[in-house]
Amino acid sequence: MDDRRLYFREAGTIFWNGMLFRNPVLAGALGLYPVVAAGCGMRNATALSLLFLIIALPTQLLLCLAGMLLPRWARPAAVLLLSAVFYLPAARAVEWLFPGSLADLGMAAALMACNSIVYARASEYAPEHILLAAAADAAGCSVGFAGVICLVSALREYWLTGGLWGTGVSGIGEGLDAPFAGFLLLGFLAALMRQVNIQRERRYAEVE
Amino acid sequence: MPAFSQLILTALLAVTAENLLFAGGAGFSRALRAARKPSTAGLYALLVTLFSLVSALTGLALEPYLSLLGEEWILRPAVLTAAAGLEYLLAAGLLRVFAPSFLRDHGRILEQAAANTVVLAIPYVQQMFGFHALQALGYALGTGAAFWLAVLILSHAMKICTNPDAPRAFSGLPGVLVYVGILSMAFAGFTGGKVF
Repeated sequence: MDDRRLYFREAGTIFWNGMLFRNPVLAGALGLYPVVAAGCGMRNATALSLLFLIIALPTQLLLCLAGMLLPRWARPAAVLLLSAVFYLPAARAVEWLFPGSLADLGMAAALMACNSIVYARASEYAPEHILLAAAADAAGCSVGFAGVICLVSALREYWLTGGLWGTGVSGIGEGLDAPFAGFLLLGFLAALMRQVNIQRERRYAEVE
Repeated sequence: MPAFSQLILTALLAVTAENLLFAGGAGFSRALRAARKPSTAGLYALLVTLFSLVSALTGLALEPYLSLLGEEWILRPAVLTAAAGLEYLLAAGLLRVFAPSFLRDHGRILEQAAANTVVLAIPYVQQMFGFHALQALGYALGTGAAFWLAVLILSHAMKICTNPDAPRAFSGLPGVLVYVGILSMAFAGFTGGKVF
């Protein structure tokens, strides 16, 4: 296999790990706040996912390119400053696509600028990996975060209102917009993810 | 009301009914990491308290200017996050000069405390509840105490949730998340629902 194909195959593995098998929310317990506090409607979930992508991708790529030029102790500040800069276009894009959503999301949207997934991946992973790996990781984590928040939000919105995307009229789950419901749902989803990984390990062990 | 009483009451509020961690769901990612090393919980919580105080003061100092900005939900988060980055840089820079061994040994905790969601949430809570300076400081102190309590509770939860009798799929993080969910439900009982 030539080097280029090998690189792309590795990038694919990194992407899948970020998206599913080592999902930053379900396996790493990162980025919990937006999911538990604001993940209770598909509109919210889509807006937060878009914010995440537009902040995470350029921040990780820039830290990958320039991170090694900075001393280790200064990288966290660089991540926060870059996240603050990229929050501006991200927020503008979200406001353009979903008018009024930032004000509705309030603190949850504002704190996406210091999301622990972006922070951890940009300050620790990106500077020590090649650009393709950092891009695959950023994309995988973005899809992984979006998948979890959309799933949790869809379940909560359906139980709360009986529909999705604001189409519901009446639901059965009063109080499910509180953070405790988010934590409980995340616990069960994390267990499901763990079970998938246990099955995979068993299958690999059988093959070997 | 005397100033000291106001400070103590707001601090109590931050630990109980308006607890950012259990009632608001903020800062758990970092609290869970801190709970893996209970021996450093005190230092971590102390640094979270210090950065929370700085964050509260920054929020108060910038508030008159932030109120003048249009597009509040676009510009405010960017300004406050950039301020947090500069505060960390200043703290780390000072430690590098005056206490390099502290930065070498505890630099990771310092950076995690500075970028903590509960720390960056303080100016928003302050604005939401209309806290004045003393109340904001009380809330920041209470949030530091709440973080320390959360770390202690989570380190205990982690031990329980790795019990070999538990189903393998729920061992570790999934069990801890369910445990936190139940605790958070108790706080929802205090507050009557969503706080933040």
